[in-house]
Amino acid sequence: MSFSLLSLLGEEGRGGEGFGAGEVRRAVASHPPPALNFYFKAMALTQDDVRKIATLARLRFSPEEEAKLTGQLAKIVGYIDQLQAFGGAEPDISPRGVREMPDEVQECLPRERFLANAPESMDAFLLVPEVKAGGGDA
Amino acid sequence: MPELWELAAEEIGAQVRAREVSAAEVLASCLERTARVEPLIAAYLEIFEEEARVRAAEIDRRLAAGEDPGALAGVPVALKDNLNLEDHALTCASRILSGYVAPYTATAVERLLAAGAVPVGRANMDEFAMGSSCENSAFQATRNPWDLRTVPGGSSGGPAAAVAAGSVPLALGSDTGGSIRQPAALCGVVGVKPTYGRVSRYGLVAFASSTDQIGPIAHSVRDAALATRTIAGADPHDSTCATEPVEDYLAAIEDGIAGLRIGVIREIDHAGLGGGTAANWRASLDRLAAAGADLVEVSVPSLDAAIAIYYVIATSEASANLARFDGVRYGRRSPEADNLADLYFESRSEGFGPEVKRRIMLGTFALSSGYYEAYYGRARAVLERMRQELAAAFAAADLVATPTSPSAAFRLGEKTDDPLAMYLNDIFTTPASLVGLPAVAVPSGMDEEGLPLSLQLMGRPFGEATVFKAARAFEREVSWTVAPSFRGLEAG
Repeated sequence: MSFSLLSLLGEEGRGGEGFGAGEVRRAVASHPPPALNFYFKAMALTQDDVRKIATLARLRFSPEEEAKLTGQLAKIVGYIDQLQAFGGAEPDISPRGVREMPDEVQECLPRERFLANAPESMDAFLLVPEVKAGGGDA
Repeated sequence: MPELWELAAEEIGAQVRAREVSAAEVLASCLERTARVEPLIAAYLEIFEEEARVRAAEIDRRLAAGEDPGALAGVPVALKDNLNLEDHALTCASRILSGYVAPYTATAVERLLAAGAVPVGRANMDEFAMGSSCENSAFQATRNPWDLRTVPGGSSGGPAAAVAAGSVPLALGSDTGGSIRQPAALCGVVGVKPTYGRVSRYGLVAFASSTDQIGPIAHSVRDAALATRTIAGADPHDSTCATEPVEDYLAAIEDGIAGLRIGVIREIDHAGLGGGTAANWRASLDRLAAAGADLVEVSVPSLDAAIAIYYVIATSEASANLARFDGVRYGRRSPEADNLADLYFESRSEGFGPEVKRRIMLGTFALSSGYYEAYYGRARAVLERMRQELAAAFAAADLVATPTSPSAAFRLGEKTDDPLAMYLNDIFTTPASLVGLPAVAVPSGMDEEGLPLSLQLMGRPFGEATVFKAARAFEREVSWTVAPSFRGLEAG
């Protein structure tokens, strides 16, 4: 994302919005500063929280791994919580700065080149196991 | 007379083009050197010996036919294993990409090839470029040529160790929060993180798309500048690649830095530099002053938040970027799964190593409902503060200097059980990444144990020419000679 460069550059002519720049502005502008309860909740990151995040991330851990990871993540998140003590600033998304390449539709590599890397494929399609077969928990 | 493997890339290119030496002879010398040092340092995941010989012979044939293969004619190069080279394996040092074959070549690599370079192998790295020691490779731990008991840094540990050991004069790495500069520092070589958008990211496996950049590792600032000039510039395949014209970074590189204003960040004193690093840092400032620079104090209070910002933003982006590794389209598919959800869970859980999982978890957490504002939103806001502080610093100074790393190379295994301690290595390299500035790591001497230390010079966006000029002036003051001693052989 190029918006981080913007105010260091005096040049005109950056075409269009960098992806995500508008997103960040919304994120920062339309919500109040984080409430303290986020801060303390995170400090007490539990093994239960870790299990929920793992599901979101499509990862599985053994109970031993989960316990170790909970300790490590809690320590890292505790460190990251120092961000609450720093003053923030509004992102400058004024349209100047880097001139990026136009995002134009172009010819792609042939499908076969990509399918060659597929673990399983048939004709022009990727093969996967049935969505609901077996005893999966999702 | 030096051996061919000791020559700079620039000299090799010049001599090969002048047909004073053949590309085949240069390659043979580098391969022979590689055969001697590789068993000690384990810098490569694969060496393409035969193919490199064919390519070198082709360079010689073209020269004989009167063609000019380019400025890097016959220069052997190592490629970090997250850069696609068509029809070659690419693993990002991860089991999840086992069996993957690159369907195309990264633009930066394509440009090296077009300039006559000869790729000799895929170099080791921390898995998916996540790490500062190269110990997170799923396959092997690379060792530092200066002391085999220490790490080469990371994540581009393989490329840095290969260059430092004399296997190749030049390598390409990638830098997301310091992954070129920190290993270059720990291995006593030069590493470049170009301005965000200066080099196309097409064909680089994405880690954190808003900060990822490809850059060179070399013995000298001149070679680093030459390689950067070769790979930089607009690319229709990467819409975030800037169209700013590429300057000839070598044109004024010897001009010196008389009168150049170099900013010294006041808050560096907070960073807890070790004794040897602190003394070397002060000596580096004296050297810059001796070379004619005006040192000016600048203030970047958010430096203290750099690691926290970085590990929120980079992991958030990584959690999204690495969602694509699910066993469906490429790489390793778990044989255990009998439905689609299990396929995702099992392929990812079996394929990713511990640090990659930790970062995906951290990023997923930072972006998750209820925590997004407190973490991702907060990190973006403090990053914006940092950007403004650095903009103010660059109003008062032409460049900003810091140490590259808070310490010299540490022992293998020393920080593997403490991820946060590992992250703290990145204090000085993350700001340039987060704000998109060009930065060069250049050797600055040694600590009391004889391990290399390094100075980082950051510039304004697209100010690479000034950064290289200053780094070259500093390099002359230090008169660094490349001679890693492979200490610790008896122990390791």
